[in-house]
Amino acid sequence: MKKHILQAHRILLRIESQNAYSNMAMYDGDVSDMATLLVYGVLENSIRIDYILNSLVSKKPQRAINVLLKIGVYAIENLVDVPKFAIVSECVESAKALGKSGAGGFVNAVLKKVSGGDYSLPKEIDGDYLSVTYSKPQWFINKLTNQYGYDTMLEIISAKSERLEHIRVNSRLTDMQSITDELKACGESFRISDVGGIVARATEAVKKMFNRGLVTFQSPSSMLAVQALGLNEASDMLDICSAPGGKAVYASELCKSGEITACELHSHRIKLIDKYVKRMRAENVNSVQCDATELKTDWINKFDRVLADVPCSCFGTFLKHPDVFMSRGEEEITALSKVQKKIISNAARYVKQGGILVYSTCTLFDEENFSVVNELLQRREFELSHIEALDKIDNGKYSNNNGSVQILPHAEYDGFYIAKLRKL
Amino acid sequence: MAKRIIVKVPDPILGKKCREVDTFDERLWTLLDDMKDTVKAANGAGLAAPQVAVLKRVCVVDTEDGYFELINPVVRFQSGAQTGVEGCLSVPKKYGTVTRPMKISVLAKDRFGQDVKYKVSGFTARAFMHEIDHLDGIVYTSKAIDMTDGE
Repeated sequence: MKKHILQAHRILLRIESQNAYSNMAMYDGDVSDMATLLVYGVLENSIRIDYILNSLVSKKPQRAINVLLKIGVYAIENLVDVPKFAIVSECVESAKALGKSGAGGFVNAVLKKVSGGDYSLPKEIDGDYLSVTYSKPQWFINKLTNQYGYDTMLEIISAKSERLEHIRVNSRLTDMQSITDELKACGESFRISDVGGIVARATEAVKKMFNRGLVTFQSPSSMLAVQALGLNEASDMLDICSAPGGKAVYASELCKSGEITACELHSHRIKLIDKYVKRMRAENVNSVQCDATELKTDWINKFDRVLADVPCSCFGTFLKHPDVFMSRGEEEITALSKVQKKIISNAARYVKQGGILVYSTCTLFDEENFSVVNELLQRREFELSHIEALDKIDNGKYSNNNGSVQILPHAEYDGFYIAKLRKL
Repeated sequence: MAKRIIVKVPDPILGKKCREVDTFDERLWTLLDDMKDTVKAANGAGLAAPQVAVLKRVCVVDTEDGYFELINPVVRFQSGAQTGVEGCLSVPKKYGTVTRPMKISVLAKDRFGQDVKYKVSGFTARAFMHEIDHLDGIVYTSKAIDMTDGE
């Protein structure tokens, strides 16, 4: 247990102090299942755990001890197999191993209170009840309520992560049948997703297949954004904010005789695209370094399909990246919206007449979604077009598919937005 | 190194004309290595890039005369004629009779971009012609005098 606590502690400290993304920090070496559970558990319940600790400790302890306490609180509340007194003692031991033996008594005192249930949580009538119970920032809840109404807001914030990966099969190297056979042979449980991928755990067997380029990790929302393009055999396509290249590579598999141009601003991210392309053997993807907010005149009216998967606040991905609220705040939405409007208006000019522009984000708020698209629609050069690819997923009352679709986070789906626009 | 999926008729990609290779980089080498794995595993006499869904003028030939990698190949001279049966990894379980030149001379690039010349004859010449046809979107079934199923 101590080993797992220390491993989780190291990862959480990196996420908190260096703003490392949870998924990046996790893929760093061998992380035990227990440590993974602790890391995601703490991240998902961060606000609730902070509330509990605040009610018990008057002065916030130094960071290393605070992270250790958070792990302790999560473990005490959620690990049913391990007795509470054992968790307390393991945390005290961990404090010693971290060179903070002086804080051992403090850790012991706080966690004993937690295991005794000696703390208070907000009651249903309190203003911060939802924020603390579901561990989501108050502004997030308010903003969702304004846009979606109370019931849908509650549905969104209570969504739970399945902690499974969505995998796509590389059609250049293998097929679905061979991969599912191999998974069965390894005794893995999995299911086929609606979008044509596989939902499974990221076990060693899967990671091996990933390294060989047979499969890749790709979220169903990424796949849907590409499917929405309606690619045919020989489409020339531009992916305007491409890195790390997952969507461009998937597109290249859907139109093997077309050419895919994958554009990206930063050179170190171009390297990510090239690495992805090489692993997946996507010969018809070419990476180009360029700033999507500046108009590139030799691309005007040149592409059959343009995908503008723009930089966004990513608040729709909290199931997979529970740390999104730690690294980003509400104030970024406005700034991002400006960038998005610039990118979509350039992207629009690159589309041939009759061609298709797909705009996508992984966030839930209108400022980054329909508002951006609507500004383009006002110019009367584009019309919204029904997205066939989305007909196969059940999206509750947001299933109205007129070409601008908001998907809410549920099961293996992130919250995301797709608009399909046809150039007149 | 990996085995790739071989595209089968009637996939339209097999009817496409391929583009010349202009960069001789690691990506090309990966393609060539994968094509070797693929053709060996399928026990074929040759394989062209469009058969693994890559529209580049690249093909490999594997016969008793050796293993050849051809990039941007051009047939410079041909002489004589031979009529015989051939098959194709993209047209499973079918065979057809095709007339091909007996001897050919081919100018191509190797994987590093250096010019190479090959003079081949007999079955190897047949395999060269078959693979080079693929690069122009020609599948042998369109040239065959007759087609048979099975053996």
